[in-house]
Amino acid sequence: MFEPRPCATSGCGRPALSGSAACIVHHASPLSHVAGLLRPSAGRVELRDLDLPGIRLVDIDLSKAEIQGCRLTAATFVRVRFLSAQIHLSFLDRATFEGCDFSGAILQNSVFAGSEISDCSFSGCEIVQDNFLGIHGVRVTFDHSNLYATRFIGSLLESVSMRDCSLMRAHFDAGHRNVVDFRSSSINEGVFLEPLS
Amino acid sequence: MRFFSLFSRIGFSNSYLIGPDAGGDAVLIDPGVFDAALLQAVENNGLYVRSILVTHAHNAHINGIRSLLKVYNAAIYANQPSVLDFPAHHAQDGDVLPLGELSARVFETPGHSIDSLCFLISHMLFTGDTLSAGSIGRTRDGYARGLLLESVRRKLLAVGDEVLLFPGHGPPSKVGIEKLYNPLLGEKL
Repeated sequence: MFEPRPCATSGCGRPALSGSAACIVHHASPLSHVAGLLRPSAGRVELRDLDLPGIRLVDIDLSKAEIQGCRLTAATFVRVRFLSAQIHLSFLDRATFEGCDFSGAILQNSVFAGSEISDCSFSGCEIVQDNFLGIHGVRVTFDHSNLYATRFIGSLLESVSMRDCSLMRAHFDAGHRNVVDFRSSSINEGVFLEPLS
Repeated sequence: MRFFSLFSRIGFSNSYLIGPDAGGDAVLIDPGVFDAALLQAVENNGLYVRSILVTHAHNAHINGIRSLLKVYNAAIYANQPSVLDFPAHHAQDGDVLPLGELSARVFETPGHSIDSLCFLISHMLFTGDTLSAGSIGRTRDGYARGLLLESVRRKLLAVGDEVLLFPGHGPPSKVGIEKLYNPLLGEKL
């Protein structure tokens, strides 16, 4: 698990980036620092126990990447490919995801709460016991995915497709849904405390 | 620090294992089951279960203790004098438990059960059935619910928004996320 350290800059309360004494704001060249961490080894990217809040990744291929025990809070991901990636015990809360593709990924015990997720695909994923509390999802597909014990409590879902999903123990209470397609999904196994809209 | 989250299909509960990077004495929180996955996490990482922290003595969170103690000589910390007839160190509100290279700050949070405890280890808060992502533990009546909500608000929500929250059931969260999105924490007492 990542271990937070404060930025060395006097008066700055932000966490330092792993492998550096400075935070994302005070680092002299954050882009090259992060690029160094994203260098693949044996053909794939491995991020383990890293603290990288606030980073911005655009047009990056993280297919088959393994992300474990990391904090990527308030990060921005634009057109990042997470195809068949594995994300375990990681914190991607209050992040922004635009045009990202997680198809075939395994997301387990991870936190996406409070994130803005637009034009993204989570098709054919194992999304097991994840935290999507308070997300704002727009034009997102979760088709053919297993959403076991994943919580969307308090989320706002607009034009979201959840066709052919296993919703066993998935929670959707206290949220708002506008044009959400649950066709062929096991909605009787999910938890909805208000009528489906 | 090595950290593992283990899921039990019996009781659908989470157990957590924390130990030093180089191996050695580890802390196990809520062993609901002692199965191959837990044994592998311990043995494959050169760890030894030296301490068991019990958030509350419901079966889904303690059933693995009987088998564990046949393998590891571990001390139990709970809000009871014994757990499954094994003697336990009595952990109380405000205690700081020395656990080898780690230490755990204890919060008493009665409501889901009278013996409910939460443990703060480094930047990680283990909440058992007191608080989970978007929810709180079941309570027997309104009084118990009031007790639970009062201790969550006064104690747990004060530890810092970026503190990671690891519950007995369901996905992880953060204290700040619960403040923003847990619909039950706004209830009037």
